[in-house]
Amino acid sequence: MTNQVLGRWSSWRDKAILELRMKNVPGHEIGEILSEVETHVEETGETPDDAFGDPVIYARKRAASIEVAPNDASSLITSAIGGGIGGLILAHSAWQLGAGQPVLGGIPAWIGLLLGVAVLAFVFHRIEPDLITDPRSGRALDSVRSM
Amino acid sequence: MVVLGIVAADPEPTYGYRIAHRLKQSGMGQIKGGTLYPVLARLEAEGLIASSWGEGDGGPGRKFITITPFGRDELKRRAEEWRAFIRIALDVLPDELDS
Repeated sequence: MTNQVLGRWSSWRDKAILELRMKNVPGHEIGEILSEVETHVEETGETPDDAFGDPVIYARKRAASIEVAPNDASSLITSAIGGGIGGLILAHSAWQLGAGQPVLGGIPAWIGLLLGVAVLAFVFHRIEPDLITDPRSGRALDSVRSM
Repeated sequence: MVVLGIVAADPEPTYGYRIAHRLKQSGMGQIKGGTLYPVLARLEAEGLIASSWGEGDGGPGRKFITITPFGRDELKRRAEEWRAFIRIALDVLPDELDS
């Protein structure tokens, strides 16, 4: 692609991604849709705007036919609470360790520290990023990874 | 259904650009990607076609499309319905219009 074509494609793609994300379309589906557009315009020599029209309208059209999971609010709340508790245990244990005191209930502060780290590790492990993957390579799209 | 027919008529796995080209050749006019790919996605969601990504002819990877056995059955059934509908419509229409 020439720089001009590449720039036009990047702009079209970013607008489509934003709309598809707002419609909660899963990352692998977004990758599928974008790869279709990219291969089509590369084969036909058309611009994305000529072949697929406005990226936002096209994204809405595609999103409407994809079953998307509703926002999982309970999972988000559980992660937030878990993260808060883990952080509190960690901070309190670190403070008590510095003061040479046990944590609540006479538990040694280093055990509290380990517990806090374990809780935080568990919470962060549960949060999996929904990356946009290119079905042709199986790799995450670079520009999207940084979003 | 026409798109499904084009996919079914191709002896090899086909792809979007080729389908658009065949549609144009068959007199259906220029079908834009923005119209074609949502149709293909719907056909796939209905289980009428299947797709997989593969190498293109020295070009970018292509999404190859084939009709499923269910798709063939449905195409046959829907084509018969269309033929029946067209026969009825032709019976209703006059052969010649009085001037």
